[in-house]
Amino acid sequence: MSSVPASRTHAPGEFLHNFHGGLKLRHYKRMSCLHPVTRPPMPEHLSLALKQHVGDRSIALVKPGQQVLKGEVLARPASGFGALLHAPTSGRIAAIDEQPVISRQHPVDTCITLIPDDRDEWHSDCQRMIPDWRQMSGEELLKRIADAGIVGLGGAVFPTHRKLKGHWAQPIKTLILNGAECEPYISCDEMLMREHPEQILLGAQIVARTLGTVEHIVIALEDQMGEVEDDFKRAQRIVDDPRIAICRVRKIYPEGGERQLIKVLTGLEVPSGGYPQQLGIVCLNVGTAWSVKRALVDRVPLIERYVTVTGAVQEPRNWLTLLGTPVRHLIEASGGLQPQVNRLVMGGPVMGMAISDDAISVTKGFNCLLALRPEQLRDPTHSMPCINCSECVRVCPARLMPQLLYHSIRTGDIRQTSELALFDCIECGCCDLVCPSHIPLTEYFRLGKSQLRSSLREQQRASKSEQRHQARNQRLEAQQALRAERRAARQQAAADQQQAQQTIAAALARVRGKQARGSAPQADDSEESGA
Amino acid sequence: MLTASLYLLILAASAAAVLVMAARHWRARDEQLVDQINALLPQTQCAQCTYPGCRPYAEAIAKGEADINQCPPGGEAGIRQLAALLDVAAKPLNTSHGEHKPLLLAVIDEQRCIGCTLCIQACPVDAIVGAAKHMHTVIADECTGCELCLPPCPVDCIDLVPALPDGQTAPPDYLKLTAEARQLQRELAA
Repeated sequence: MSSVPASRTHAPGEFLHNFHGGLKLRHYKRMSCLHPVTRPPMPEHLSLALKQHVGDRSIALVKPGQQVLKGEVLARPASGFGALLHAPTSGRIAAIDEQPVISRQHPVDTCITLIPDDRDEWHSDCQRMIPDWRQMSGEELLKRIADAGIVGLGGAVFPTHRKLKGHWAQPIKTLILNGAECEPYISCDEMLMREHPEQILLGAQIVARTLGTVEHIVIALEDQMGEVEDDFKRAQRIVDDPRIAICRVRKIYPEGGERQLIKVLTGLEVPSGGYPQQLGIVCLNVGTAWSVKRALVDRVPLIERYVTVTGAVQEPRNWLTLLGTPVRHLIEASGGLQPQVNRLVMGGPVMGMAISDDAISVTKGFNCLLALRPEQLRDPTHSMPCINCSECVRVCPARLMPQLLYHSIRTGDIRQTSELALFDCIECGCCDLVCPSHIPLTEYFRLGKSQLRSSLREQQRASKSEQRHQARNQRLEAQQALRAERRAARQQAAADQQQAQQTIAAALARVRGKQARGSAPQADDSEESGA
Repeated sequence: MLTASLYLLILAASAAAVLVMAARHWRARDEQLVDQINALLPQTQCAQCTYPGCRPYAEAIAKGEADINQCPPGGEAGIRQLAALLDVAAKPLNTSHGEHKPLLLAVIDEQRCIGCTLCIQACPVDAIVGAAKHMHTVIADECTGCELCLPPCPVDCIDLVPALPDGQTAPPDYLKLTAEARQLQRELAA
């Protein structure tokens, strides 16, 4: 962590810094920005995964067959860490069962299937009047953000109320709204910013009020988003808040990553394993700010989001999509797939995850559906040995040494991967893209991370059993010492008793001796013995 | 003459001081070595290496009395790590001490347990709770799967099962796990 004192003289966003590495990638964004964003037709069923956030698993609060209203809470996290899930529309719960989901760990998870009744009837909680947010305290705002089930919509799906809560060494002075959507193809944030700039700024103001101490609100846009900047300038005049600054950052992938964006805007580096809050910074996606505004002003919980449907589909575009909408439905609404598509990806082409089944549905973290043709895919069997060219080191935005990490993961040297700070890998995929041997490095790093995690758990277990073993040995020794002490005491007591008896016996013997000797002559002697 | 003997005396004294310091230094290094070896051992305390616990085995390795391939729970991976630490060639596990098995967990069949407390006395990590003539049970989180509770049981009511049966525990959350692991990393480094 190098705190750059020079940057203190600039307000965040006033002077742009550079981050290490990164790549210039082509955009492919324009094609999905041609149509205004509308809602797709209501699908026949919605399938809502119980766990759409970082944190604990959720418990379903509804039963199959039950009627629910739009905005009703369907599931809540088992403990405090997580986010609520609301019904995106009114209808009947058809089933709660295991269905395919998008996850790197488990292919299926519990999902609630909701059959819409097309009445779209609001739950009374969402129609109740709430006071103006300007009158509410930070605590109240935080509670309402939690009640709306808002999570980070940039992809990390971290519960927003947890991000805004907590006591940090420094007051949070800077709020960054991340509109730097750096991965190719994805345009949902751009479309949102074009359509609702004032709402986003309003959401930022609400978040700033929740945090209480914010002095700077920086909206980070990409270089080429000139139109969006004009929209924001217009919105800024309406909102009229001197804290707001709009800033265009250079288009280098992955500058939209939280740590990279903070480095670019403030020159500060988030410490390894640390959080931006330690530097007095909170970074939110623009979609998250928009959801906050919708929750606090329009009383709408997080039930829909902007989703880009792009790539090899007939009509690439953005949709305002209800959570739980099946991917298949979105593709149909976008005119269907082009011929020969053989891969569907959630997210962008670099960091995205392949979808195994088009029955999978939209979750809170679902930003983009990308259809790819075979020629756009890399052949996974094509990888060659590492030649130590260190191109990956040059582009790594986390300043790791991917080629060394790769070797230590290949050789199973887990200790080494830990020393090379494997956990700081943000899995951006830059090293994959530049590798002349086409080694799937990011895949290796994911594998390495899971190995490192299990190795650390193993070490913890070992040190715990060692402690217990030592404690037991100490106890046994103490017991033995105690027993030895008691035995010694008993022996001492026995010896003392014997000694006493011997003394008595000796005395008696003396007396008897005297009696025997003086039995005949004087009466004085017998008197003496009686005394 | 006097100067010469004085010089010799000073020389002898400084040599002695150096030797004493060196001796202390090397002893400290020995203890460090034992700690380092001990950190690589799996801490099952199973005594299969013929030493009464992992630390005594580490001490024996440090003294050169024991070989590095006597620990079946550590397996080949453990031997490789020991070999790397001690800068000697890795060798295959000496199977006369036992075979490498995945992590096991002792389970007491509570129907059959007669409450004799023999297993409680045998457990090296106090992972069995119970009292005389009362049912005993194993604290699953603390059990190292060392099998030392098996021989003393008069009614043969203890079984060893794989520690994480497939599909029983749901895979935990990825990011949360990483956060936890980072925490562990810091704690272990401290």
